[in-house]
Amino acid sequence: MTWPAHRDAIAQGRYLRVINYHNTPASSRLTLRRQLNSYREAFSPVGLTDLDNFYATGRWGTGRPGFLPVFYEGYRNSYDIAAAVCDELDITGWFAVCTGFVDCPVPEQEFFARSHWIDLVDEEKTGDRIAMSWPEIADLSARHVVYPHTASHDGIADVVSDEDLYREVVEPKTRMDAMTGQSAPAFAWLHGSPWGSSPRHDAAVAAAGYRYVFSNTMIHRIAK
Amino acid sequence: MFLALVDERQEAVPPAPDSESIWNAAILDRLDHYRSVLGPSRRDDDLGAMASVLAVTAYEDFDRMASR
Repeated sequence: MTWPAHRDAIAQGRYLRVINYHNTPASSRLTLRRQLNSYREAFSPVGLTDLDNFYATGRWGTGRPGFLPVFYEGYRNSYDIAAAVCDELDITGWFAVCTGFVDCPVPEQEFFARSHWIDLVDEEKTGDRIAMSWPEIADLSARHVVYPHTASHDGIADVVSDEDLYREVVEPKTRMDAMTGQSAPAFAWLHGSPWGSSPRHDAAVAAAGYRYVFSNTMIHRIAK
Repeated sequence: MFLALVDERQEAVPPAPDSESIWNAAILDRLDHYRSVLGPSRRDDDLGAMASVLAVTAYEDFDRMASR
């Protein structure tokens, strides 16, 4: 199913260019700006309304599939550096946030990162806050797209019990929606597992109220 | 990389194909090329292989657009 599904979608113009970023430390700012500016010159950035409209009409406002940068994990520098660069270039950033990282007390954030597959660089290891804060997430949501990437940076295989599902799928949206005043539109598992990997996990994601699942090779529209 | 847009909703009506088929055809040619390089059929259900093909094809597409 994998090859035909992807090929058919692309043949019919149902695709996007997605650039996945993780850590964007201050030392990478110039490089990040050059990269995003290059994409900006070649392709149009895609916001949530553009994506919703495409699924409704089959058309892009610009006439062609555009690009969408995703910044994973909820690093503080996603706000300080990546979002600032996106703002400068008038690009919509898509921020996939591990809400447990955000909720972790500052003195324990480095430990949380090390034990949850969140990579750090030396310039972050100062003991200062390295995760985004909830006010920063709320601020981002006003002009970018923010959505949960589980609470604990977990994959499907790590989420077993009903309590796990609530903690990693349901509660991150509840928390984020309360902070942003919006409905977080998307969800992404660690490792980018696609919709269809597990009926039980799919059901939990749908019941939580998400309408997109971002996987490694697809964006799945799962609800209105 | 390229991400395919799929609609999992039961009631969904697939959107009409994009009119920029010339661009889609160029991308498909490269996808088919890399599929053949990796070895067709055995790799068709391998998401890792699929991600690699979509990534390298997107890099090429970007380079082509950036050089125009």
